[in-house]
Amino acid sequence: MKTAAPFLLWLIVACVVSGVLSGCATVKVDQLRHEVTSIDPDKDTIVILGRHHSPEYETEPGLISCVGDKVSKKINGLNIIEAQTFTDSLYPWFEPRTAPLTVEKFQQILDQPMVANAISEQHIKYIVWIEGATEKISGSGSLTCTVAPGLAGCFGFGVWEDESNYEASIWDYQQTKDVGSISTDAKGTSYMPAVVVPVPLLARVQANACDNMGKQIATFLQPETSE
Amino acid sequence: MAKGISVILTLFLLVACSSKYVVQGEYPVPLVPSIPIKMNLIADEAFTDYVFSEKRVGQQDVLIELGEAQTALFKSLSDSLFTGSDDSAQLNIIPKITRFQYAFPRESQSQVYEVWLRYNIAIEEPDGKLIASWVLTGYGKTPTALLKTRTEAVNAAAIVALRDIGAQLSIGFKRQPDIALWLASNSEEEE
Repeated sequence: MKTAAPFLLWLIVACVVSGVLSGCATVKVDQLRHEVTSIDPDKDTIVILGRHHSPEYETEPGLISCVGDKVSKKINGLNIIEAQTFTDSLYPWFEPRTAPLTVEKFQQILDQPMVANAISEQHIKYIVWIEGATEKISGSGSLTCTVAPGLAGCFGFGVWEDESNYEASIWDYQQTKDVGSISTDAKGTSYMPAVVVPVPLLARVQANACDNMGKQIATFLQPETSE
Repeated sequence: MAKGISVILTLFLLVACSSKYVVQGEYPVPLVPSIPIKMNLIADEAFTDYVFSEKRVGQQDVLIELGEAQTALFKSLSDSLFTGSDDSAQLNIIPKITRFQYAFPRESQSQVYEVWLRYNIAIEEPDGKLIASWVLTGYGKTPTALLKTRTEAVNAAAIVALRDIGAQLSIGFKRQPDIALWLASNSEEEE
């Protein structure tokens, strides 16, 4: 019992340090606007969809829902249709293989009254497509963990760099136009020092990318929300 | 008695030494106009009870039960794409799975679970005359970050692959040249 107390104390300290400190991340957001936009949260809805057509990567569903949360927080009362609900209601037109990659292809799909009606019934004004992923681009250092009867611990130091590259294309459903795009590049270095207990100092690269992209999409759709 | 115990013991060891996944899911009704012909789905036991199995040296064997999920998909498609199915059906649709492949993140060094499916779809008249033979491949992937367990990830990837098959079948059925020709000469549909 006596030997366990210092270990627990160190574990608590490590958790607190890990929670307070974090790695550093830089974020760059660019916006390109083709058309004037506006949204009425009382009657319009939007849907945010991830691109899944490339075998190289999968736009993370967690990122899509995170961006949706940020947009709905920024534009009070805006209803964001859940991606799975939307793709189920439009099956088979928004599957990874069949989803339109351009507004011209989208128009071809809308030429079918069944599809156009299904979208109109959901009061969708904008469709936001997000393409990209977060990847670990480099790593170094070494961390060794040992488990033995009555003894367990890790020693070493690890460092790695994550990079997020996302691009959002915003389509106006009613005008069938690409009204603009927003790109977010985030980079950050995370550290993992370990003396008995590993203390992760994470850069939260994807969370930063989500936060910035969500705010920028909200500002793009409803320019008066900009601070 | 001893024989019974040894059978039970063998079955227990087989289950204990394998990872078994049962694919289950539901499919939305395709948003495409139904084709005014009656179509029967002919699925044999090899299809309805299909289990993919793979022996892996030094690792647990893999068993993936796909029969129920793929039968449900084709049942849903044939019910919604066509105007009915009974003894007077004008065509039979006979799906056969010809390939199943999977990849787990550890093996593929990627962040996703992947499933590939290949089917041979035969469209026949009731007397057995082949109208069209159609090869469809489906692909599904699931990011590791999305799901908590390997079972959920394999299931999700397989369902995405099956939905992919359903999407191609429902959009492409009337565009298949042999089927389009048959429809033009046999149905009263006005394009």
